[in-house]
Amino acid sequence: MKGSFVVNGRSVEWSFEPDATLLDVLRDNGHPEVHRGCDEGSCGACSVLLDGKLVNSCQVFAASSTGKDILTIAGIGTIHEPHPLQTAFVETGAIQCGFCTPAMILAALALLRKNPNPTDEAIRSALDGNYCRCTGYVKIIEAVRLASRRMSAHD
Amino acid sequence: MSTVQWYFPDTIDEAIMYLGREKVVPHGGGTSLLKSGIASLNGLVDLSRLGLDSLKMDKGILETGASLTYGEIADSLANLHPDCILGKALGAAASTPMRNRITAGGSASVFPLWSDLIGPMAVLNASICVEGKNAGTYDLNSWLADRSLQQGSLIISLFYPDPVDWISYYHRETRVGFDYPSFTVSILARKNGSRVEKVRVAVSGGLDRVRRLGELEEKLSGGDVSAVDKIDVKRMATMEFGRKPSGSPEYLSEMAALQVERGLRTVLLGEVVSR
Repeated sequence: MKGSFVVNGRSVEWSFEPDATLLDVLRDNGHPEVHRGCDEGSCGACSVLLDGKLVNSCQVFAASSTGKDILTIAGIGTIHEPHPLQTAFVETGAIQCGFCTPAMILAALALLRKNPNPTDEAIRSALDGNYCRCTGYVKIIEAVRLASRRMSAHD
Repeated sequence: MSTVQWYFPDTIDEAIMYLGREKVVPHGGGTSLLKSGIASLNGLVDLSRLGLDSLKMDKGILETGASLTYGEIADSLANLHPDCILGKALGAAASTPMRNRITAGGSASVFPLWSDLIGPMAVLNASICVEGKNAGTYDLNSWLADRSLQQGSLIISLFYPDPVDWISYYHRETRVGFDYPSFTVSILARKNGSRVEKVRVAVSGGLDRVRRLGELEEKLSGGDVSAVDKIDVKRMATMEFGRKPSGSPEYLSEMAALQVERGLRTVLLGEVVSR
């Protein structure tokens, strides 16, 4: 079957199997920044924003996502112009192996769009579907706090 | 190569027409069909265009559309009625990305053993509104007792009469926060001073899926809050469990009774009990 999507602001039309997941389709069409982790909705490494909401792309049928806006990490900043969240993750040392980082940043972005000044409890809750097996989360929470302060200061 | 056909109806009637076909099932956006696989199905009916995504309170009755996600219900209730047990339970379920996909209707269709919806539905005397072959409104017990009600039918919304202004307690027994609960305890109470006007208690996850603890409710309702210290809560809250990764049937039975007791002490006596 065929379906149209808006990926990182760009309209695309892709062919895929009726049982394909959004993760499969994104990775098959040039979006390796969406990482395949557990493939069962536990680790969060494949998270993207679907119409602004954080979802595990391995747990979403591509067919049910047609016509929707999809945001991957490649859509929020570049190496020359990183998003404040990306800068904050680097500066606080919230990255080690980096496998979870794209999804972690998208989870933080979804939170900050909804709640620009979150408490630590709100940050932990928003990131509860994203595993990091390196950092222990302390630096990640610090990075979200830092980005929140900087983004609020710019508003 | 999958041959399953996707349908994208714009109306409920159109959706029901597709659901009347053999091996065609609804897909609200949740994850159960991904987990069970769709290879054996002929078709999937996408519900996203049916407008079943509103949350309304009318004459004291809360109605949640079948396509609303756990996250949407929890967020709305956190703003409108922060003490409502439904919002507390759904806001604690699974993880953020999963709460953004699991729908009320899908959950009420499948009711997995780890459901965070079934306990609040039991204590809130919720009902399930269905269109199609078996159109009607069903209470939870009738719905659970007859799975054939779902054939050729579509869950439209869930109704919760009298859902707010209760003292509420919700416990999900997990080893870590994002785990599936091995059981849940849902308690509602209304007090007037030290008099207990009404108590409702339900435990889910046991062999009965969900059970209202009627004897316990009867002993406590209409009496003084101190009754919780005088009656045998543990005996009345004991129920049977199957073996689960999180523990033996005996362990889970003991823990569930303990959590019921703790919950009652929290809502009736205001005690804060740490795990």
